[in-house]
Amino acid sequence: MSTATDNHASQTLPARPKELAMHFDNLHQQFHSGKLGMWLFLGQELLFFCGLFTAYAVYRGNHQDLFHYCHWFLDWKLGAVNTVVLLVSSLTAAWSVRCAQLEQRTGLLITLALTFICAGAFMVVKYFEYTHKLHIGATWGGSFSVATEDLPAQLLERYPDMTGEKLKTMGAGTFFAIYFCMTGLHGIHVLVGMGIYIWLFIRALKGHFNRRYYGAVDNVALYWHIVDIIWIFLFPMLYLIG
Amino acid sequence: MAGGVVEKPADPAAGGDVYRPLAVNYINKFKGIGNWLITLDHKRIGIMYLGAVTFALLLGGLFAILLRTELLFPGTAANPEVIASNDWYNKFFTLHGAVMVFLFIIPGIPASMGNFILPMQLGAKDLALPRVNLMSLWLYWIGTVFFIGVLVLGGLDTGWTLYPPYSSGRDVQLTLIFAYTAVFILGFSSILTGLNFIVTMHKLRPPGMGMYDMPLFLWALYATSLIQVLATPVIGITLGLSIVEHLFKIGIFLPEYGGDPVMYQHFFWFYSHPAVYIMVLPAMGVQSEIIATFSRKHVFGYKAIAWSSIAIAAIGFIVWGHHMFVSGQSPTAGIIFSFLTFLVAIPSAIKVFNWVATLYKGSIDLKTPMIYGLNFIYLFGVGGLTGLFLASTANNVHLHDTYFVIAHFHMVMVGSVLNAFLGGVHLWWPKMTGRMYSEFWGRIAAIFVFLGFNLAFMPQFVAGTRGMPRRYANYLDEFTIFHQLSTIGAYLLGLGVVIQVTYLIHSLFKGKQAPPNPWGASSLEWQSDSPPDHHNFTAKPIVMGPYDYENWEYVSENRGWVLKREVVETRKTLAKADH
Amino acid sequence: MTSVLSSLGNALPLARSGSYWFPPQASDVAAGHDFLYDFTLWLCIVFFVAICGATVYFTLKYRKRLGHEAVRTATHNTKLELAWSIGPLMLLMAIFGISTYWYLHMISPPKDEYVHQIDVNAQRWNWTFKIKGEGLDGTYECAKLHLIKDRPYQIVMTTPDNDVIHSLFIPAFRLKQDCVPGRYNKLWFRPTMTHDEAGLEDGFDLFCTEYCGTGHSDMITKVMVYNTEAEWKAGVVADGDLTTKPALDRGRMIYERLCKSCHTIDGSALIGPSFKGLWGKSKEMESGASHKVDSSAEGRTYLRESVLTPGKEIVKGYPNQMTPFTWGDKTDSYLEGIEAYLESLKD
Repeated sequence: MSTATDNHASQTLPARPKELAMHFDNLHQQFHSGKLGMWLFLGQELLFFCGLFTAYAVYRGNHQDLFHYCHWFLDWKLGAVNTVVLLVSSLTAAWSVRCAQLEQRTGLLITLALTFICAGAFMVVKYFEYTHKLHIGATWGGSFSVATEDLPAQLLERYPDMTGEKLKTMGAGTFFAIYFCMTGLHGIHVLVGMGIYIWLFIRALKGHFNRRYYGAVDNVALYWHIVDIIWIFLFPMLYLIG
Repeated sequence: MAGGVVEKPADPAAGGDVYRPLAVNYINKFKGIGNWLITLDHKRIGIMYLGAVTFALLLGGLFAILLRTELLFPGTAANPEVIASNDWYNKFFTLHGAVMVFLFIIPGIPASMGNFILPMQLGAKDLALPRVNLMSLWLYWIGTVFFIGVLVLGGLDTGWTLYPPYSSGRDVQLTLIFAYTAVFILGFSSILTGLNFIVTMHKLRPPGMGMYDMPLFLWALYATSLIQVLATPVIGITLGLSIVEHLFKIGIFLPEYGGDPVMYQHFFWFYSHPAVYIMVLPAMGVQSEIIATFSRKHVFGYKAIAWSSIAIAAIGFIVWGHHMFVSGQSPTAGIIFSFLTFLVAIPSAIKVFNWVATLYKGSIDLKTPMIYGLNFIYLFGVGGLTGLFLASTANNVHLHDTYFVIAHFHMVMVGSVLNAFLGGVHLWWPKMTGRMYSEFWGRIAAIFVFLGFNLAFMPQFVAGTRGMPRRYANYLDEFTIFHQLSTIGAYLLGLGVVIQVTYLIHSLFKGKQAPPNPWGASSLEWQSDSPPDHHNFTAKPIVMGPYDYENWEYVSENRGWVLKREVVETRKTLAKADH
Repeated sequence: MTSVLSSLGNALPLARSGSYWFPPQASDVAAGHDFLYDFTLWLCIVFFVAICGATVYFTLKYRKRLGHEAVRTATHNTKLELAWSIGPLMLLMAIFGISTYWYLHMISPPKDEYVHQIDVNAQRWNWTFKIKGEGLDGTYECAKLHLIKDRPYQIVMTTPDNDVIHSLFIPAFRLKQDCVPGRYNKLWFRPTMTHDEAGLEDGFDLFCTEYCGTGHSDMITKVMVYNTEAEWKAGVVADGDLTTKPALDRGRMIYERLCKSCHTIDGSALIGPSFKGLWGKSKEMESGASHKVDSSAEGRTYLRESVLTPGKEIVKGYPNQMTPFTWGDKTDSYLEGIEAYLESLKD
């Protein structure tokens, strides 16, 4: 009938693990509370992105041809490289959880570092993609102004009389608004993830994790998977579908 | 020692009729502001929230008084000002709406009373994620600071709905960016609170307490939390996009650059309609506790009330389009949204019927919280039923954006929610502060609030059906009488609130010591001391049904209600058998 | 069906034309709307009285007093609870049915007769109704909405892209529709009562009901409904053609309709500079240049530009917020009027 461990009684019981917060009965309860919290947070993340996916669907429905023309601005090869990079990082993230569970300290440090490095590689590729677009003027809203000679070759091949001015009046700025918002928000999530992985790495160095206490590694990996999954949707939606 | 698990005093002559509060409680355990600011104690966080939302209530109320004063006289083209120009009036109603919605009503009951009471009703020591809880409070404060920034920088005149192109379409303006940022941050505060509540209710229920053994307040908070977690991110991304739109004119919402302003409205109401249920569901939860406690009756139709909360939350997600019947959305969508909106009326009605049925053959004690409880039935009745007119597409076309709408949502959001907030504060005040307030002044203020409220909003229904549009700084002469009655009502309402603040603050210093259970309520928090220990309970609370009032007996005014000796004995035996 | 419903509606005490609740019923959907309102209202009253009656009765009967104890009654009753869930649901569906019937009527213009079209332009903070049709030589831009009784009309609403959302609301017609930049929203109606019949000499009220800023509550005009085409034509011409008026009157009327919400004539600054004393004075622009309005060629060119392309040169210290105005072949005449009016306001 008791709720939480009684103060007075706890002095006679075996010592509480130092990782156990005072309001939990045991590490099992603590672990699952954290995990449920993380799942709810991920649900929240999905709905956060949902607004952008809806905007994408609405504008794609309204401007079918425009999305067809504009997708050639995005280099599917770079996108594919980034997809692979992220998939690998998800693997190392999942592996890090296993290492933590098995108390393989070196393995844990290596997998955490690899995840961080992959995330960094992703951002580097993204940086080159962004700077190119900004350079040729493939930007959002009214600021879109791409010279005809900077149009992607595939686009000009199929539609030789296409000009930058034409695209602008069709509303290409909207496509790039959506592109930059979606990939930008995703990029922010990657950056946050990198920060968290540094924090995990430091904690792992200090030896905070063990077979009974590895919730943080597990929950961060969950977060990292959702970041990955969102990219898995962004890649075909923006780069591949013509 | 202490708790509600006290045995009946054997000898009153030996000072047994005096309740001795804990010498060290959660308030005086640690000293200094620094300790409060970084506390992980859900009770302290709840108290700080309570202070903050009360401040927001008074601030928003001040703007209400200002805008009602401006509307005392129609204003003519030659002389439009009563106390302020059109632009200032526009700022008044914007700030009134924004402060009340984002800083008071949405966090109001869940963050203050929910934080304080929820773990105690589970017999737990804290919320499952105390650090997340503290973060939520800090986010609330940061959001508030941004809002104060908006005030300091000269206010905002976009309406609390922040519709583009009127808002983001203008030249870059710091107040607007602050407002977007504030709401964005407050949204995350709300999400974290909701997330924490769900985890706590799933993981920290004591053995012997199933979901159906929780007080209905917790079911209401559960439904609220679901909405907070699932709807709030959408306003987050919407306002995030609005900031980007405002700064860079990217063409998501602004028609000038190829965007769609109606899409903003869809996004906005996808959150802001469920947000109405974030406001009202906890209020309904408080209401269930009050009605049952002061009728001394097991609440009627427990499962119906519990599941109607969930149903409201679920259906509430798919009715947002009824805010846009005349915006140019497709008529088919309009009809579907109308249908769904009618559906959401049913679970609300079920609750009301159940509360009334709970009164049947009870022993109804008209203490201050109960007066608010009865007010709630009446005001929510008016607010809910007038919703039916607005749910009808054909009537909505006429009534949309008129004073009818204003009156309707104030009946629900203020009538019901403010009532329940005040009712809840009075119900749990003895537990939170360890002090009793003046029952006499409590009742007087409750009656002021009720009368002022009706006078303020009943005339607005008629003004609305006659065609008075909302957000008008000046109006045609034919509407004068409605506006003047309404303004007088607003003053009365304000007076009621001022009386309250006065006697509640007075009670903090001069109030009588409160017993652990002054009302004879049966949920677990009443087994703790008043005010509670840092760890909530000094002895394990005895888990029992939240509406088992016959387990308690009244001793005296000083001791309040205590658990019957045989209940304690039985439970102790059972507990031993368990071990 | 329409007449049955409207006569039913009239039989109810609260639904007389120009009743306690509503303005006169001046369109063919008004009676249906009011009937629905009354139907819902009476249902609500029944429920409300029942709920509050029971609450008060129980509170009095079972109030706490000496010798009275709460009695433990059933904690739930499935049949009762189902009854009070499904019963109201049926009633709600009835409301939904009637509502949808009338809504469909509101949104579907008649197919078997000619529907007169009127284009409406809403901008901060005035309405322009572009009226054309039999007996009129071209399109007239009117400040009021002129209609002929019993004819179906469809109005097509536009708002300039850089303006904000407005909403057109005619309480006597029980109709409303937002004017959204970038969209063409439509609204149809059939007026069934002239403003004279309703006892409103000045016409029915027409409000803006979507918040649009400083002048929102002044964005009000009138709807005139006439019996005959001749009356209608006279009304349209008097309202829409200012070129026949003397230049100064012309200018003043344009000012009253279009400029007043942003420019005062008493010297105080509003959204834009005051017109008082503007004549002949050099003003510094945001671009650094300076211009003045007078009867010289440059002065006239500047005036024309500031009306037709106001964003080109902005007077220093004021926001770039004005929407461009143009009046087709009447533009020259209107500019002449504005010039005369500005001259009359010189210091």
